[in-house]
Amino acid sequence: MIEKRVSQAVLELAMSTGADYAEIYAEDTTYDSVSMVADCVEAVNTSRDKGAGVRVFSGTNSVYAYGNGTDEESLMSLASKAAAAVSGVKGENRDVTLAERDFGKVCRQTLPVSEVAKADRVKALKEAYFSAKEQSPRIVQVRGILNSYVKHVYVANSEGVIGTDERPYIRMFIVSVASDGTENQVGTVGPGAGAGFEFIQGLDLKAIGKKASDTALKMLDAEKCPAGRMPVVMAGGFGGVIFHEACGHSLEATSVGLGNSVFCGKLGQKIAADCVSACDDATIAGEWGSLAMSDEGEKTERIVLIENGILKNYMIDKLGSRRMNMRSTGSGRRQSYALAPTSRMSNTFICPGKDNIEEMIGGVDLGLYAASMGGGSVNPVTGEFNFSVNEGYMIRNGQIAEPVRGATLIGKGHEILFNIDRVGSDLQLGQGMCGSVSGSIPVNVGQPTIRISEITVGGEVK
Amino acid sequence: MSKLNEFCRTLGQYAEKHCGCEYEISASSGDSFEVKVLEGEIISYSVNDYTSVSFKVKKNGKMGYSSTTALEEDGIPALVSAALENASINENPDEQFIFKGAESYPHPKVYGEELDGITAEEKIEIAKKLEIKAKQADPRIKKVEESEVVSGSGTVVIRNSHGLDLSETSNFIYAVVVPIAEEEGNMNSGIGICGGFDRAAIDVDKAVADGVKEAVDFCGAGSMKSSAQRVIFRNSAFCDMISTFSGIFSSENAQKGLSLLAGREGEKIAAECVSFTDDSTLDFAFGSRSFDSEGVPGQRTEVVENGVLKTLLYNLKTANKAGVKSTGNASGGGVSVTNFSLRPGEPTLGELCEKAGEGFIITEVSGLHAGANAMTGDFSLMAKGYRFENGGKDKKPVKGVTVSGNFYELLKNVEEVGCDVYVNMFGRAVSSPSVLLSAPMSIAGE
Repeated sequence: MIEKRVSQAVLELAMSTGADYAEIYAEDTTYDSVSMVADCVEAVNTSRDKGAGVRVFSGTNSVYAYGNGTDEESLMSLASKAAAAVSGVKGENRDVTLAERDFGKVCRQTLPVSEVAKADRVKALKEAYFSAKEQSPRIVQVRGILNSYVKHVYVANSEGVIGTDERPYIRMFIVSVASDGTENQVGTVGPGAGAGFEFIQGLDLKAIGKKASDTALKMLDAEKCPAGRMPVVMAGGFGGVIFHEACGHSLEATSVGLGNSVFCGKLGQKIAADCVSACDDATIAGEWGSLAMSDEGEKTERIVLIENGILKNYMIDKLGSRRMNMRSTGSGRRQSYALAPTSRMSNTFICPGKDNIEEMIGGVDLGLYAASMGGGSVNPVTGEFNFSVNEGYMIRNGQIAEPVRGATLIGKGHEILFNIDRVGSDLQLGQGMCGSVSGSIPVNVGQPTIRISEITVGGEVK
Repeated sequence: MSKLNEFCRTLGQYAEKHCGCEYEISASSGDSFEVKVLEGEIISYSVNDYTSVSFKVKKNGKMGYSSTTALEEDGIPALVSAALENASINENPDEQFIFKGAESYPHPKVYGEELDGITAEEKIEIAKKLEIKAKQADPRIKKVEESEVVSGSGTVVIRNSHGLDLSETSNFIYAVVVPIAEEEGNMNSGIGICGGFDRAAIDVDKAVADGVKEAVDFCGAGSMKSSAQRVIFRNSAFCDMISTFSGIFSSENAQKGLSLLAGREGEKIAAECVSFTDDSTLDFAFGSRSFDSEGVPGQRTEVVENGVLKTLLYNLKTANKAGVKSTGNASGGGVSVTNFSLRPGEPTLGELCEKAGEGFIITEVSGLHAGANAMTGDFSLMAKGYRFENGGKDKKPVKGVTVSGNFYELLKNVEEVGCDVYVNMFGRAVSSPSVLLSAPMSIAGE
């Protein structure tokens, strides 16, 4: 993407005022999207986003400059802007010698979306769309979206590394709206992968449409969820959003490195129940949250965060590594060149345990079964989190009973980790977009079916 | 800007020659600046320029879209052919428009000349001052998580095959402080924000006072027993609610069956005291603009008056479908509010408390992106606030509760609107005073 000679000159200029580290990040990304609503293709869009950023460190101070040009003149201009903001002593001339490093591939596309005719992409979307629509006359509207993009990333840094990564992403969304005339309820399914169109070809598209409508219809018939503290059994897959929100964000160097996390200084200590182990693993082939090279030119890895309840590691980027005086775990990520990278999650999940799901539910007299979770958010300083249940059922006398809607789970991450008392063996991953200081990025959340002995459920107070 | 102008001109010439149909180019360019301070040190500093060009064609009645941030002339044929191909598979039966232009346009003030004179050094000083003042404000403030100043300016341009040629330049500055209070092992963060279009808008003392008060007040706060409560939404919390549910007033959503306000123009949808206005022509407001994303002039629209839905918000396509005129609310292919405000009433927040006698003031709701469903109106959100008794004389801070209900119901249950207008500075430009609700709401805690 950029000549080695140019990168060397840019990095040297960026460090000319005393910075002790410099980095170029450039990307060229092509997005394609097809969206359907009201039974027809409503909009088709193709967009290209190209740009570059130059970042320098002086100790733990960080300066970032970005723009849309990736030619020599534009990059040198970014370097001089970044250098001008470093208020250090005039440094001696730094020589940077660069060499390409091969990071391998974690995500491949065997059938690039660009090689699939747009009519065929539309055909796949329609199969899922109309399956959703045809479930019931009470499904009054469906939205269908097929998004795909390929991101070409280039990183060169003053540690001598030049790295590139090609990252294909594809995701289909079906959102079904069920209505009885006065009330609407929604069901959403959104499978995605770090892959090409072969991922869509491998899906049961009719089943995806049906699943979205089934949830919407069930929730239309559901009563409001009763509020209170109760045990909750959470199904595997996107249920892992609880770990992502309640714990994951507080284990990122972004909060730990600045002393803003409840998990600061807790390495080697017990922070969760014995049955809880958890990982962040960017190296799983073809997954939505996977990548071979971090956005800072480092090899990504499988990070063991918690092992049998003991805190083992954090997710650390380069700047976090300086602040925490710990090794970077290759966790530097960003939405695009328009944001400086910081420590982020990739595929983050609670590891499978040995508990039996029937026993888990059977042991609950009155509680909630969260079959499908929505999103949530957390304040890493206090660990306070909240997230919504998209599809829930009451558990009565050890049996899954009537559907309930409008449930929210709230609590404190460091407390909830101790309240997990069962972990099943059925690990599944679910796709999501995670928002933080370096933007919105694709991540997987995941878990097997788990039970939380007690948590505050928000809903209707009877 | 000149490079962008030149790219747009070349793109226009190429489109004239190769499209054989109506087309539109919209472009934006600008710069931004951001500085964050921690413990007196600059921990993050960012200076940026951006450009982006969107291209739209109307071929055989169907729209096709493409865009790029790479201003490379050899990319122009691909940009144009992608838009044409995308139009060819579009099935949308609604009639679409490339706007021919209007006789006159409003010119709200959206550029604060004074901001040009604020140097990077001054902005760094402001960020440092936020942190220092927050720490000095109260001994319980042990740390400031974020002290940040952000500024920027940008120009948008629309040119099309009908000869429309519009442009507008705006700028802004804002500052944020997030103090953390610590007491007896409890930690809590608060947020203070200020900003606008001149030096006076950077009210550091006010932002610090707001952030510190919130951090300190809720530091030792606990949850409370689940119960149904009379509720007052404080102004900023109600802004967030309105902002999240503002899509219900979009004709685009209504026509797609995604808003329950479809076909209800002329009907009473809210309490008598509820009036909403959308106005993109206000001077120095974050949502102001001379024209919308289709080039239609900005305007003031009475959306709800004394509880009656007067109109939804329209772009050219949805207005044509409904047989009305566009309200100038086109935004990125859809419809969105500009400066959307709930008309204030007489009482102060204190008077609303007196009127309620006892109840719960919600000062903050969180988890809106997941716990609020704009399509159904249902919400179940984490909340913070004060449980109050004796007309507000006794107040106890509470956090870790959830509030749930339905926004459509909420609009009907507004008993009184306060006078304390708050203007949202992030996301949508919504403004609202505090409101007292008549029906009790579910507050779930322990």
